[in-house]
Amino acid sequence: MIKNAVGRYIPASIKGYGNLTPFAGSDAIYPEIKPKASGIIKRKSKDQNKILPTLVDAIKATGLKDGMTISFHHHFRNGDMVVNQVMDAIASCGIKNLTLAPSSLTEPHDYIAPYVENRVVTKIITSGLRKKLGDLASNGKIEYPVLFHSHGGRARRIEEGSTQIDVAFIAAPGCDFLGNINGTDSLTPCGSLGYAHVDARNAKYVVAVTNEIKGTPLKRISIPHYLVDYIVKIDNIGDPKKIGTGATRLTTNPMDLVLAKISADIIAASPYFKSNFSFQTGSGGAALATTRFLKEHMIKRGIIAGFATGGITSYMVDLLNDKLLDCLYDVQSFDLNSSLSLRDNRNHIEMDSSFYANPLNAGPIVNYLDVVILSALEIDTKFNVNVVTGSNGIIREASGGHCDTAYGAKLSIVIAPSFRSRLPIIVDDVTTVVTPGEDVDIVVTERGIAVNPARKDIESWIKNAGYPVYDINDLKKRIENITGKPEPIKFSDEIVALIEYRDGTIIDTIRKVEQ
Amino acid sequence: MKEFRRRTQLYVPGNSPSMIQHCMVFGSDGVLLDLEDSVSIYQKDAARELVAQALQFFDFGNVEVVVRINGLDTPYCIKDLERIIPLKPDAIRLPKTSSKDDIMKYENIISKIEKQNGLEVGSTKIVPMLETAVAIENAYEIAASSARIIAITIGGEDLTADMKVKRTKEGKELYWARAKVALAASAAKVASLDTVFSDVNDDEGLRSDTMTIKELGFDGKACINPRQIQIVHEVYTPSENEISAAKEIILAARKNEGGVVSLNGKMIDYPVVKRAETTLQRAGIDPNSI
Amino acid sequence: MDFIRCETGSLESSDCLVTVEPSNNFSIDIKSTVDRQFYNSILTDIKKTLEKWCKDNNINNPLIKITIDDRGALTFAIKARVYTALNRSANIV
Repeated sequence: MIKNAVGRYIPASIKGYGNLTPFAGSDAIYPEIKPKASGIIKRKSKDQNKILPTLVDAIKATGLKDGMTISFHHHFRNGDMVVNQVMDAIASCGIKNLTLAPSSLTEPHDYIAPYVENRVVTKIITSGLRKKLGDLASNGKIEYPVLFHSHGGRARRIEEGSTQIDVAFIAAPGCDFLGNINGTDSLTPCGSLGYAHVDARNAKYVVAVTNEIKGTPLKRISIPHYLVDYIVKIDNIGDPKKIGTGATRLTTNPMDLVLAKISADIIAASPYFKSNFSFQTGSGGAALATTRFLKEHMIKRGIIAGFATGGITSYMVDLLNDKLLDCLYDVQSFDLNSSLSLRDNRNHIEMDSSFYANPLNAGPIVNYLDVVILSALEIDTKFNVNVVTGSNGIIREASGGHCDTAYGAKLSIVIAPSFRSRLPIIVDDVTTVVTPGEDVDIVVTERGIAVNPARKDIESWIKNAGYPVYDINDLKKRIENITGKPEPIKFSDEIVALIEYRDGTIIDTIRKVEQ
Repeated sequence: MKEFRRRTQLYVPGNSPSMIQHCMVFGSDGVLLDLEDSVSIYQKDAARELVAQALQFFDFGNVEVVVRINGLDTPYCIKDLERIIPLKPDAIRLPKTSSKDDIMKYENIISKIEKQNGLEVGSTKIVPMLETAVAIENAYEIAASSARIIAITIGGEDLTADMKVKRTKEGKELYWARAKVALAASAAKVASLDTVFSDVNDDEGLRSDTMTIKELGFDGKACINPRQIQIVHEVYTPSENEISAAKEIILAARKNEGGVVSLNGKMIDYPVVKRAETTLQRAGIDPNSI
Repeated sequence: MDFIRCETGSLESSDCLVTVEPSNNFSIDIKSTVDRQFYNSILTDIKKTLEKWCKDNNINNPLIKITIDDRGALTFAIKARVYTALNRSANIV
């Protein structure tokens, strides 16, 4: 065990992943020169038809076998229907020991829990796990530890070959007879296909799964046909209405709105708030709603933003349509309005996850962000942030672009209600470190704001915005006066998951909760 | 006694821990912990105890804490007062008071409870609610009836029911009653607080309603949803221009104490100065700090 | 003192449902969404509230069972719910 830069003990190696490199600081690992991974060369005869009748036909055509790695994107979020149907088909072929490497997994994927229990899937590499799959992982019921990566980290893994995808199954709302794909030209759009691009470029085989094969070529091409090996039409691939639910809902919750207003006021009081500034809001009702309040400040001060990135919401589309924003870089569309805007507005640009956040390319867009507003499940007095495990130690959410944007942005603000279900949000040590405290500048709760002592410049402009600033230890005490101090959760020694930092080092592990 | 701005009072159902525990963070000037209409008759005992515990548990900071009890005509009134008064909320809101007599009955009960609990007699402040036609007719008499009274307030729903008229968003039916309550409060030198605007999804309706009551002279308004707070505050917050004009007036008046002053060709007399002070107070600025 | 089975509170988030009922021996049963972190705190709140209620009403060693189904209620709500449940169970109005 080696103590890493955030004080967590990391084993030298672990089954299924070999040697591990402990996290050494968010700016410590410099890019080395190394070859990029890529897919395989395929030469298809002129008369070969890509369109296959069933998923099982496609699985057979790709030669998927025991022990291989498959991938999916999660652009349909809670409305996804592809993962479950593909897993049914794979299981029916008797294939086992697969590594599941989706961009993330969401609530409907409870359905595949039996496939984890009966070893169709023995390893999961993902940004997030929720509900039943989170429970299974937390209880050590998955053969290999789960590896959690960030969105940028996933692009890096795939491009450098740490994740080698044998078959990528891509839910393709818009799909033509050639195999060109987009997420917009469909009655059931999911918007950007940002997370699927790296899969399409680097997987050995790519299967487009669509609900309609268009007879005329797509005019807006997100993933080009020459990367797509097979096309399968099924009845339903996803429900767009469920994209904007859960972590991506537009909130009317008064607490979320209070938090959103405070963070917008802070941004407006910061030196970054000037024409051409750039920003991102992470998932979570309060973070997303910050844009709404920021708009009021922009109108009042006559400020027009340069670009906004990330999960794109209706709030951001409003700014674009009202000419308060020059352009949107969309890795993931969080609601139907965003999908439609991506389709119709040329200043609304689809970007892939490498463009977005890969730390080892020539400059991901996160590095150009002025401000990011992020959510949290827990924050500790060292400003480390947990967005994966609940305070009960169980895996329940996703890493997402949290550590990517916190590193890249000049100002990173983490907002959260001071307690949820009696559990205080500020703790001595977060259950799981996902984003290191060195990259978190401000913590906003409705009962007080704390500033990272490394950023002495910030306190004065928060005070100018009319908000008091607390030492984070004092803020923690203020909240504990309301909630009481929680007793620590007991964990066993068994490691059930790894938290990989965006650069490939291990920032933390998740241990099995003691019963 | 603490001085409070009274632009907004947020109603909080007294039997809801989730609403009570966060009510002080939404930015309203005051909170109204309600034991009356928002609590079913089967939960009066539970709400009373919950509010009592909350008063002892939370730090409400600068938020004015007022408890609305059940009226004299109910079996809960005395129990509410006995449980709540010793916990010293900033004030107690008394529903359906119609006359000076009603206030005198409360005076006696409250004084007795204060004595029993070793509190200074008179220390419990009250806010009578005027919710019947006769109450409106008696507005000044009520407002001036006790030194405990810090504000009077109008209850729109009950009043319109009593008047047998429909409550509308435009509020024409309430115009006279509101004007009378605001005037009576000014005469008695207490604050005047307006009734709620019921449609929480109609921001513009709320804004227009608030502009009306501000023009009539009300100091503020009750809110039924935290989302209403910001809009009411916006209406009550003077613009930058109004604030700087008010500052100029006060400075000019101070320089020439006693004499008649003019500023930019306009005479500055007592009412002008008084209004400038009100403007600054509404902006949260102490006129003496200028 | 005779007790009857009575409930107070709810199963809404941040609330708790407290049941007091007659029993042959005294017991407290705690179920909570945050029991890993707050079991002892909830137990202390219940005991303290019971003690205060016994003192307020001149009652010694009541033979009751107190059951709490907690949904993350804060101390103030737990105390209020327990106190009211005791009042109701003993028919103190």
